[in-house]
Amino acid sequence: MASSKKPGRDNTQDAIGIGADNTPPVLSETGSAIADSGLRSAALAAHLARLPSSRITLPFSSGEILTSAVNSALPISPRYAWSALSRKDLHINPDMDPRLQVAIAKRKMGAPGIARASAGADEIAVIAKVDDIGEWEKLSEVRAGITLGSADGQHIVTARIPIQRIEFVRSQPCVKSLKSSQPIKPALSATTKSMKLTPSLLPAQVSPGGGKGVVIGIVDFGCDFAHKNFRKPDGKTRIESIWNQAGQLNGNSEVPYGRLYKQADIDKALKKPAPYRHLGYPELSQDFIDGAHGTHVMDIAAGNGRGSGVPGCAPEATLIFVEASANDIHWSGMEAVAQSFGDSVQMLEAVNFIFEQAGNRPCVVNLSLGTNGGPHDGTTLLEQGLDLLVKAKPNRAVVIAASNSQADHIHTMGSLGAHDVIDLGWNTRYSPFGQEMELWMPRGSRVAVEVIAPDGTVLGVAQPGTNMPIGTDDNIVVYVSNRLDEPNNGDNMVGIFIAGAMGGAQWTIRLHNLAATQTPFHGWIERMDDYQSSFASPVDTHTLGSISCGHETICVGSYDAHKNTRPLSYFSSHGPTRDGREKPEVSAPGHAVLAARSGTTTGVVQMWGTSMAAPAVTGLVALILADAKRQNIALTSAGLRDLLVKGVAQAPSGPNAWQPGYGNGCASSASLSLLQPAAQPPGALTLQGATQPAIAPPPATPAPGAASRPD
Amino acid sequence: MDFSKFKKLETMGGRPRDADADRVVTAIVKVRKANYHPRALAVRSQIDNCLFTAEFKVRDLSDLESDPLVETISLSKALPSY
Repeated sequence: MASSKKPGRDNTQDAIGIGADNTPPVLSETGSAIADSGLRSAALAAHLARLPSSRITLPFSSGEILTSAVNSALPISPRYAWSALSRKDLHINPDMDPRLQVAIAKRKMGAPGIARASAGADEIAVIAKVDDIGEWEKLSEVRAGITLGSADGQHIVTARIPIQRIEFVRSQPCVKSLKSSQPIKPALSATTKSMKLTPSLLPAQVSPGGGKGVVIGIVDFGCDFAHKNFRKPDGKTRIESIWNQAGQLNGNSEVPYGRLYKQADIDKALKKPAPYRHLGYPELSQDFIDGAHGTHVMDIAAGNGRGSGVPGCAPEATLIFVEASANDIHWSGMEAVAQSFGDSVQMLEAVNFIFEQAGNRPCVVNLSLGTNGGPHDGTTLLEQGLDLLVKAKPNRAVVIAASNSQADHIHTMGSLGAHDVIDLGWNTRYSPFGQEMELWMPRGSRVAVEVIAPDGTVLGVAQPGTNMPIGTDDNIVVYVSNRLDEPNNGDNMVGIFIAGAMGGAQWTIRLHNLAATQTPFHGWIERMDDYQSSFASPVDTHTLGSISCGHETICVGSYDAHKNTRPLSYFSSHGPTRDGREKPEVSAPGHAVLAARSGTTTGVVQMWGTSMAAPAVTGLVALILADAKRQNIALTSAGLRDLLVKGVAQAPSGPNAWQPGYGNGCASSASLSLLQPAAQPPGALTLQGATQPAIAPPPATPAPGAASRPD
Repeated sequence: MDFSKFKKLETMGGRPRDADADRVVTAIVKVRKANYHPRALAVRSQIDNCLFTAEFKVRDLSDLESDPLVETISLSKALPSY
């Protein structure tokens, strides 16, 4: 599947061997080990000193301020000499169950560092002794199993928890003992029940008809059109069209590139023994070992349950799927990681395509993609473009996952006083791809950026408005761009890149405020699955994804619907935006969600992430749009967001209280009841912006883009 | 061609970026005049009167940079799933 699978990855190294920070020992040119991770800096310097001078010549203008040599060509050897093996200081609590210690050690040696959509491989089954089951189940890391027994105020319980959170869970006061166990059978998804979207739980008098008449667009990876959850009783497809952006152009004029499959094409393929091959679509059963991300997402939003037995949120909606791709520049780095990618340009084209195909039908598009970087103020051209598309017509919405980076410590912030200096510690990872940090400051600020290597070597200072490449004859290993006046918002942005081979220890980014005024700043570390680096002193707010901060789009966080208290998912990214807007708007079930598994026709698979929460809200929005259509009510994007916000269930701190993780609360079908004619004053059929009541009298002069009931 | 000198390019993170001058790239382009399309590029999708997706050769970035009616250019960026 997309980002969440690394089938080729082997995490079986033990605690002696490869570096604690996933760093292979540095080998000399003859292959002998010269350092382990703890001695690496000093040994590296000595090693470089023995090299011919041509290896450390720096051709850049900043070379004069480089006080020691750096070399990007650190070998990544596939073999390790015995002499390269050393004891690793992994800082694992020795009081824990040894099997849990091994799991943590393996993870610290190279298991993924980001919470990902399908985290089954990153979980471990445990048996715990707890003295407060309520507190235990409140932990968002805990996917509770069963209670085996109780005595003397203590309870033996089973659960599954993420490996990366074992130590945290073990440290909780209610946990008296924690041991590894055999896997337990996962519970069924509680998404539709938690959001009260099943027919029996819908508010009285609403008739969304399962979203009939509404188009749900999914831009994602892997649409299993053969799964029965996307087929009608007669076996024909519910999918109106699939645009495979990476496919070979088949001459269909409705798409400028890629391949478009219409309903008739899909139905024809479904009659063949090999439908994917017949259609020229990726072979889902082979390419997605644990189920395609897009199939799972689409099922949550709109599966009908004919295959799996459990319908999604809007089972009667019409479906359009865009198989995202990135056919353009493949920059080195994150883009080179072996996983599925869309890109910003083709995503905007995909959303535009879906709205065009929908025509005047109500339409909601789900996007469960993104990265960590960006201005986080909604000004990227992609976010501006999505806003424009949503506002172009009433009854449109775009729903976006908040991101899964909350536990990765990828954000920091602060304020530089006049001529102040602040150090930012950057815990880097040794990797094939390098890592990036972005710092954003207000327009007019003047901050110089000094880069200090882990051994204290000052590599240079990038003055405002300059860049600073540092490297060897043939490679750049550190690059700083201190950019003024970013064209979209006028702010200043500092981008810092450190080559993967230079990672594995803590770097220091020293900020010098050259101005006599206070200068606030935010920093983000770019997403790098499996090799995620982090701030040494993070501020775990403002962790929303790169495309999740738009003004008109709806951003969704994740909670665990399997627990009565609905704890926020530990990975669910927090707001607000950098410009202070309250996003995410709402949250939805994204924890351990069972939904359609591609390649099975009837099966399901468990995934979690805000990727799973967003389509639940997409389905809810489809129901709202369907009921609004039935009542002949047109909705602006602002009015729609207002309905979502006002209809939340169990807002964490009472009504209208926004929280950085939950948003305004848990999205619920109660939003539908706000559309009820009985709730409207006479003539009140127009919905306005979020700052006004969801249902209000029509203005004397409708604002541009304002929705109104058609005559 | 080093991209760091183009002031109209939306920020692309910390990684240094360059590409061959003949490389065709895709981008989101924002212009100051409704329905204006610089000659250097081919429009792919019109999103709004002043916003569209387009493709052009890297060498044409200089023309776009100097075009006063071009406000901002955002080269394609990778977007993995969550």
